[in-house]
Amino acid sequence: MKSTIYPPLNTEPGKHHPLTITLHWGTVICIVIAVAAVLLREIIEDKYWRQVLLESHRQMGLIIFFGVAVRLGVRLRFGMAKHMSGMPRLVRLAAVGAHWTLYALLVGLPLLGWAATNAHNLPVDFLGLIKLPSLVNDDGELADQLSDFHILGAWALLGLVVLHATAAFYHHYIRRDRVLWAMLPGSTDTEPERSSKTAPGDAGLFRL
Amino acid sequence: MALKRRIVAALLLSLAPLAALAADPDPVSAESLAKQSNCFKCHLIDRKKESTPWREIAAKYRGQPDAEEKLIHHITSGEKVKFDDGHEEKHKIVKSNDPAQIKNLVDWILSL
Repeated sequence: MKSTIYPPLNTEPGKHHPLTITLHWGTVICIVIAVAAVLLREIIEDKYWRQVLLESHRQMGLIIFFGVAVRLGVRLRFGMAKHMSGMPRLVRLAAVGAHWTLYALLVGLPLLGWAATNAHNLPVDFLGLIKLPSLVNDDGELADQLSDFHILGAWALLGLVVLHATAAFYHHYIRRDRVLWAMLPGSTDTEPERSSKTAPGDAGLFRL
Repeated sequence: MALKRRIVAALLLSLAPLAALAADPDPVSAESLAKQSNCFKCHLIDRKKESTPWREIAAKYRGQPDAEEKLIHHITSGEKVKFDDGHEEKHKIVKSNDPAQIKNLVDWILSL
């Protein structure tokens, strides 16, 4: 990961691009709703609500899918603010691997769900507005396999999300650097009262 | 004495197929075939999932003379089934070529 990939625009460790920040937290909200909808559906027997929950799950997945596409575009165009300095090489590699696995799952899981729906002989539309093309033909056995992969991938995603959040909290509260801060909404200015190693004992929302 | 015993034995032997016919379905074999065929992706025993709970199906078909035949057809023919949202799919085909095993599964469902 040399600077050739990212233009030298964001080499100053400030905040990430505002669109990246918006899409990141939008993705968090969509994942929470998608997971809640599909888990709630497991315990609900009412036909109508089961359909509402499944459709909500699908739409959240599609929003994440298209959101990640935009986000990757933003990342390739503007890069990310670099906050990795000072971390051991192996940890940096692990972080890069984890982030690209997260992107892959955020793209792959909605695709698997979309294909599984098609395999169940059901068309998929986006927000009731755009008819999406069928990825696969009507095939019950394939639907089962795709669903199995979808569920497996979902657990992997949840595991990585926990790791991701744990790492963010580690950076913020233990290492006391700006890795989490860079992704928080708010001013894109640098944070003058907080240097990268020492934090004053202020009582902001995201401080301990 | 020996003759009598032999007659009794012969009688009992001749009854054996009847006993098998009336035997309760084997739930262990039925459940393992159900699992293997992914039945539980859509059907649960007493709660609604994608499709009707099996207890409800048993209640609906109990007492119907052609219940067994109908259900065997249902899980072996790939006939179309309607889902709650109105879309139709072919019902999955049970993953067994053994008629006795399939019959056992259907009998077990009807016994629930």
